Amino acid sequence: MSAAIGATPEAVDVVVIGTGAGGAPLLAELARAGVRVVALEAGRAWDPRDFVADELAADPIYWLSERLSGGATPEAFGGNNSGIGVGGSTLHWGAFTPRADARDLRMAAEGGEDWPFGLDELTPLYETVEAVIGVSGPREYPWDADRRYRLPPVALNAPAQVMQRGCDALGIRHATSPAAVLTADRVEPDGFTRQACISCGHCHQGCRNDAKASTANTWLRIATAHGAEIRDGCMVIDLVRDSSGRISDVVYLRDGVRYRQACGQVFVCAGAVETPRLLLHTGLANSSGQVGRNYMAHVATQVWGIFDDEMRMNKGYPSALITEDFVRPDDADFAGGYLIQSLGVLPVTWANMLSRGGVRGAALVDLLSRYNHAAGIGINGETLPHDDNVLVLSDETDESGMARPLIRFSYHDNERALDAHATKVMRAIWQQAGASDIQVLPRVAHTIGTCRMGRSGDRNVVDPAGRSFDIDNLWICDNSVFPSALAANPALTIMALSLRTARAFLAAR
Amino acid sequence: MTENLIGLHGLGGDSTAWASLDRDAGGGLHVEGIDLPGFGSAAPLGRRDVAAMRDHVIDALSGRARFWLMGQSMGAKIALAVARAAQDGDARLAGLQGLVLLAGSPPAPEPIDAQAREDMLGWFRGHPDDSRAQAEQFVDANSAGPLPEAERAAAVAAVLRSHPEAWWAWLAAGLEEDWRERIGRLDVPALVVAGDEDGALGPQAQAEHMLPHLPNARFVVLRGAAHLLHLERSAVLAQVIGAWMAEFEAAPIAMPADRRDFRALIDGVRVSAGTRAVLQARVQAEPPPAPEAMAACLEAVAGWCLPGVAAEGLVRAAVAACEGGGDGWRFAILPPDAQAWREGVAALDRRAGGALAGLDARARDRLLDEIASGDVAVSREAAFVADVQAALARLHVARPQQMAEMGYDGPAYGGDTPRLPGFAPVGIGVVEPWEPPAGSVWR
Repeated sequence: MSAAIGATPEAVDVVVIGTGAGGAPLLAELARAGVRVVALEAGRAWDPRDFVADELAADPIYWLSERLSGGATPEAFGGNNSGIGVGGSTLHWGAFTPRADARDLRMAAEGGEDWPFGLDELTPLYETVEAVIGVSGPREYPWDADRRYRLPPVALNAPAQVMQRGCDALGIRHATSPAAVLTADRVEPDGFTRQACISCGHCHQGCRNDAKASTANTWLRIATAHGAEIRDGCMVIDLVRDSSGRISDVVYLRDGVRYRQACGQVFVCAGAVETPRLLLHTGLANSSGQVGRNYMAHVATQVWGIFDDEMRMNKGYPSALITEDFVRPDDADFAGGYLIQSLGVLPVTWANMLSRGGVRGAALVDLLSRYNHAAGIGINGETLPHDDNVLVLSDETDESGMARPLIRFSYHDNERALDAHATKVMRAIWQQAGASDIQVLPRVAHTIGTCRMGRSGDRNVVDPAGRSFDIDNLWICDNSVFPSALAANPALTIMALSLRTARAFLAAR
Repeated sequence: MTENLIGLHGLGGDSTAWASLDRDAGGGLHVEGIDLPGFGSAAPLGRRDVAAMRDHVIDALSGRARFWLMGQSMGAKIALAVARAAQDGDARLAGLQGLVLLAGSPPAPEPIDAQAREDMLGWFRGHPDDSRAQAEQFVDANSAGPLPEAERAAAVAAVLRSHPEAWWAWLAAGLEEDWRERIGRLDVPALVVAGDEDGALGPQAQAEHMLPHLPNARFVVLRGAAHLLHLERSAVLAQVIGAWMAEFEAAPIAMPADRRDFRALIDGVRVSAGTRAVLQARVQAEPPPAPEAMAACLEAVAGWCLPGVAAEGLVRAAVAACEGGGDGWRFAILPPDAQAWREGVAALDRRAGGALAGLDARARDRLLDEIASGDVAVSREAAFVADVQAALARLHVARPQQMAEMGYDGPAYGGDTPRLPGFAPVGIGVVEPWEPPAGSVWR
């Protein structure tokens, strides 16, 4: 592809590709340690006040360059899981921040993969991340006696309250969800203020008062205060190696102009689709043949129902109630487990879910007209790595000249068994909660795996610190390095890994 | 106008505690303090309970025309008791404008760590050197990072000036006094401030024990600060207090009188200019007509999946969208959207034996039901029909006219004011007085 050549920017110590949950914490850590670092972000920077309270108009914060979705259980991308802009997917994330369960890091005995370290290493990192981004939650967490949340819990909205009712009837424990959403105005030492959550329910369209943590209103502020540069609108299309095989330059397009940024080290933090795509495109760091393999997601089935009382489920933090009682159900006939959360969604998302779930005709029109009486409940469940769940390059190219990614994803017996168990439980909760017109809607969420972290270079792409086994100045930090999917939503763990990778890098300098 | 803010210090403090806050507050805010009995230059009283301290403060305040009352830690509990007297009509307190409560000890028995309390009850009973070390330990343990040296020295000196009997009395009894029923709910505006590094009186404790008494509170957390907020963060705190006082000038948000008039809601101050522009453009949009055969086929699909919904405009918008940027993914078995839709329409018409639109509703629904029962991962026709239905359903509920019909007022959480009103409270059956019901109209 031909493009004008831009002036060569000054060489830096480190280039970080991506400013989401993987790139931003380490950017802050490196800048604070005095490393000269620049972040290249494909999207633009935002003033939160410019976000629009409309689902269709939120498109600019989703990664909309088309991906091909194959396999027997094709996954939706775009607004379902992939963001763009300074802040990455944390501009639109749900800010739902459970920690990983220790058992989910030890999946080998259950037919999955072990992480190369245990929860004891992650816990202090979680505590740091939670303090920096501001996580609210119950003062005491029913499934972890040692855990404390500093900020008081969010208000329970109607879907959370009906889920409480259903869980109580069945003896299922529940708690207000841990959420990276401020429940008070929070003032930084420099006076920067994020306002308290106003229960607007538009987390996925971008938070207009900074109550929800994004990397832009947390880590990236720290990074730039310590001298990091964030260069927006930069789509990385190549990594150049020197004669020794190390990365010497990162090549990117900005406004159609091609630039070459010389650097000492590269951190690829572009997520579990764009990271392997760039490595497959450049042919780098793949002596193991594992780049793009072990693609995982989450079983994210939802159950919906109609209630006599008004729910107005658009109001409130959308996923305000959680139960972790099913992380390892006693009667499980599958590996791993799942979290359940209450769900309030906005109309376009709901109409899409119902449609994709096969509701149509008069039933669909009727349900949509009763939006104000609807509430949902959903899971986040483990998926195991399978040989046929892979990301490869398609034979179609996109606007940057790179091949579009093709993701093949299929449920196997384990995912089907987990899904069946969860569906039964959720139906029971919703029946006890008083729902009518119960609908079970299949959904797949998140993007995980493709550049696995592990101890040996023959079956993994990066070592336990996140460094490539093949190229010693290439690092990866995002959800692509996860050895297993975890029942917990990924972003909090990605941020913890980002601090861990940064500290390993700084210690090895 | 200069506002007067009167500070009530915490345990071991005195009126000198407010010097740095007064310095940082600038001209618009004057901060001064009252020494509580047994602290600073105030002699201890025979009675050392909360009520005695309250009466001492009321005496000191009486006659002030207009003032704001601030309390830190122990001082906050006294301030609450004063505010209760004001709400009960004590004429000497008519000038009270609002409360500022810093890491406040709540009306309930304070959730202090039992061991820390036990230790501190044993202090100031030995050698002066020990007392100094204890005072330093107290100041250091209550700040998250090192205080500026001058502030630290002043705070330690204040602890050492405290009358030990007053110190012990608070720890032994004052913080245990249960004022929950006496304080009740105070209508006075309040600014509740906590440090997120505070052990016993941090944000969780304030939310649990303080905020329920103060329905008109603003809640602020100072990141990286502990308990001595006025010393740790005087500059930031001065800004926070000044901004909070200034907000009382802001006009309330006006609501349309007619709850069914959805357009008036969207045109009003509860919706941002950016959102309003998007919604108005959607109402007024006139996408070009789709090619006739395509439009007829897709309107037939709409008649199947969204019966009774006016389809022509939806189909136009959907066709325009499929020729645009897409939504970030597509089924791998399908070509790019524009091509997929052309081919998909042709395939449906073929399956209908000519034109889908030519079938009667029963035959149309039977055919589309059969196609839609196929596997979207395998059948191109099934994948296409699924895409069309999802596109039409999304566009249907995105129309402001349909929002009005559903009574969905989500965009009205806030406009362009510095502070957005949001929705409060939330919960089962909660509908705010201004919210339109289902069946409202866009006109």
